[in-house]
Amino acid sequence: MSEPKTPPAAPGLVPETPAENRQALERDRQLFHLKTLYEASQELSSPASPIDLLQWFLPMAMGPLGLTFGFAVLLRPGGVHVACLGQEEEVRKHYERSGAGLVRKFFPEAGKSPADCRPTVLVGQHLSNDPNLPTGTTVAVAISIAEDSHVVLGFGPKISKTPLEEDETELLHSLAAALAVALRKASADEQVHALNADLREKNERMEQAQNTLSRHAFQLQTLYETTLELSGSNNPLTILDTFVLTLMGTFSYASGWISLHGPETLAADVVYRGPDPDAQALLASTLGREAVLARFVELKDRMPQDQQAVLLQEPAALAALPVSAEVAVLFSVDGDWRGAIGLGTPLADTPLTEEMTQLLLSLTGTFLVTMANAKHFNLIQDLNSDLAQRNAQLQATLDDLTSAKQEIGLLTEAKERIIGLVHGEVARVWRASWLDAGLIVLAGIVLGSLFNLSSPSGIALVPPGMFEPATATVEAPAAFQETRQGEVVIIDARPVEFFNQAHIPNAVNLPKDLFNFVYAMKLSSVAPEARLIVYGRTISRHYDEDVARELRQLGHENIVVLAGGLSAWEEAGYEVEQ
Amino acid sequence: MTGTLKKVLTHPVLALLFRLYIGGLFVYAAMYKINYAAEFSATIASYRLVPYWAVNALSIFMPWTEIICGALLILGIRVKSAASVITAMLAAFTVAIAINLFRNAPISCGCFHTIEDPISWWTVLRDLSWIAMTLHVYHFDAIFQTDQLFLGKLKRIES
Repeated sequence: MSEPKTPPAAPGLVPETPAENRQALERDRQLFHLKTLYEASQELSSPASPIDLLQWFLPMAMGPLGLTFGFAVLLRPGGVHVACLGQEEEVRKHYERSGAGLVRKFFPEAGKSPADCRPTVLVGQHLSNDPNLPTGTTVAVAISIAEDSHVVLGFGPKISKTPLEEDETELLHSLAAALAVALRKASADEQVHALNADLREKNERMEQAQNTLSRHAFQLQTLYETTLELSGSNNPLTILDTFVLTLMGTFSYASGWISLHGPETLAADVVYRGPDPDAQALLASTLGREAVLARFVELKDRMPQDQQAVLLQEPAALAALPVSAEVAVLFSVDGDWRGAIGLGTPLADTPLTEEMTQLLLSLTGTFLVTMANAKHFNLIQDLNSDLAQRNAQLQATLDDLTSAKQEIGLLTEAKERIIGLVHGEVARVWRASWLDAGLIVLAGIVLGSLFNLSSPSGIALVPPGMFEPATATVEAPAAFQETRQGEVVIIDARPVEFFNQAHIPNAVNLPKDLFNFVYAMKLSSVAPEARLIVYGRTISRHYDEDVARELRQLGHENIVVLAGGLSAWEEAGYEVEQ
Repeated sequence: MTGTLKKVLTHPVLALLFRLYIGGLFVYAAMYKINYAAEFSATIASYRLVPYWAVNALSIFMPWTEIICGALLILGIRVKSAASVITAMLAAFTVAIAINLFRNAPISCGCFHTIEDPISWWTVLRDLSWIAMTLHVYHFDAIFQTDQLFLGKLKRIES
């Protein structure tokens, strides 16, 4: 608020003056109006709410114009606000109830953006008769702030009961325009404030959401990292150790343990991280095993099934665990393996929130999957190892079988050959065989040769006469002529049986076998130079040559062989003695 | 009757008797020929069928072939092969005798000795009967064979 100014004298109280004084007075009025307008503008430019601006505007307008009362009705989405000056409280309450109707009279098209931002100023006595306005209203001003915010102002008559003059009306227009601008500015400020508040609220909500998201991200990151770490190993003990450390780090606990017990009494995987040196042995002991498995029995129908985990919440159950734990989870792996996870000695005083509990169960779920996979992997590895061993045994057996098969093949082949040989030999024995016949003949040749060589009565393999020079021959006619002349001795060299059967007349039978005897008897007297014709030759033996050879050895030189022998003699037609 | 006769004629015992007879006959005949090769060569030459250059060789080898075949028959070794060789030799002898009979050659058989009766158609008949015996041995001989002693076991291996 600016410093209060001394109000100018009311126009009605100014005495009539001369013309120059009137002009001066007119200037003063104008100056006064301008000052009023300036001050109002100054005042309205201050940051304030539309209600405050209206409450400030009423005295600003009423004072310079000398109006008896004023009121303002503001209709906006938040409701109806009324400001009164110079009116009774009843009027305020009346407009608080029906002010909206008054405004809609001036702005029937509610919700429509105002086409003209300039305020509407109505001046006149006719307004006093309007039932919607208070009695005596002479000025009505309608200002549209926004499409859903409108203001209606009303002013009573001047104190001087005189109507508003033109310059006063102009002043009122100007004031209304300044108010309109201030109201729009205030409304915009309010909207900005509201938007700021809304933005702040949304920022807060976003911050909360971001925090929630960060927590979730942390949980997911933890889950991811845990999964990553757990999936890096297939060794159950390594997985247990890694998981315990992860849980202790994630949930800020100073100690933690996991005991996993198999169907057999001695089958147990246990890991403990914490200050107690005896905890691990206790967890692996029979007592530890029974203490853990007893918690499963206590859960009855809530007992975790295959790949499930259950948070142990009862203090008594937590106290009964083999190693102290603030938080414990019972779980089952593959149905046969059961175990418990315990976290003790928290580093922070705050208990686990619901989200952290869910995270614990999620991590445990991941752990169970990894653990089951590790168990399966180990089982598969054992099976593979067993399979490899069996394959090796099978390979060895196959090698043995192959070797045996080859040996059997060789033996079978040998057997077949032997059988074939035996078959051939047996068959050969029971039938005539060229081979056997050949062998017999060959044996005869060999034995005969050997015996003949070693025998004193052995003979030449080939007749010796074959290699002797042949004796001269004589043809049958010539021989016949010689016999006619009687100068020749004919000798039949054939065996006596043949000689007896047929021979040349006067022939002497001189077979080689009886040579000496017959020669001495019949031919010893024959002179060595006597002509001797010898005959007797067959395909098998040259009797004539043999005897001629013998005769030559005895000194006979004139020996000839009858060519063709007795056959040639007969064929020549000469006589034969039978 | 016919059946009985056939049974008797085809009986292995008869074949055994023939086998021993023929075997002994050939061994006996060969003994002389082996010791008197020169005389035997004269006998072969008297048949006038063997070439001049082959007479001596034949007179050396044939007796040993005969004695081997005879021994195999007696012992029951490779009976069929031995019988076949003997049959072939007997057939050759028979043909040779028949030819010389047609030639009217005044020769003796020379089967066992150098000096024998001259060959005749009885000689041919005798040789034919020996051929028949040998064929009987070939077909029906089945007992007392030395081969059976050794090859019977081989036959069991074969089965």
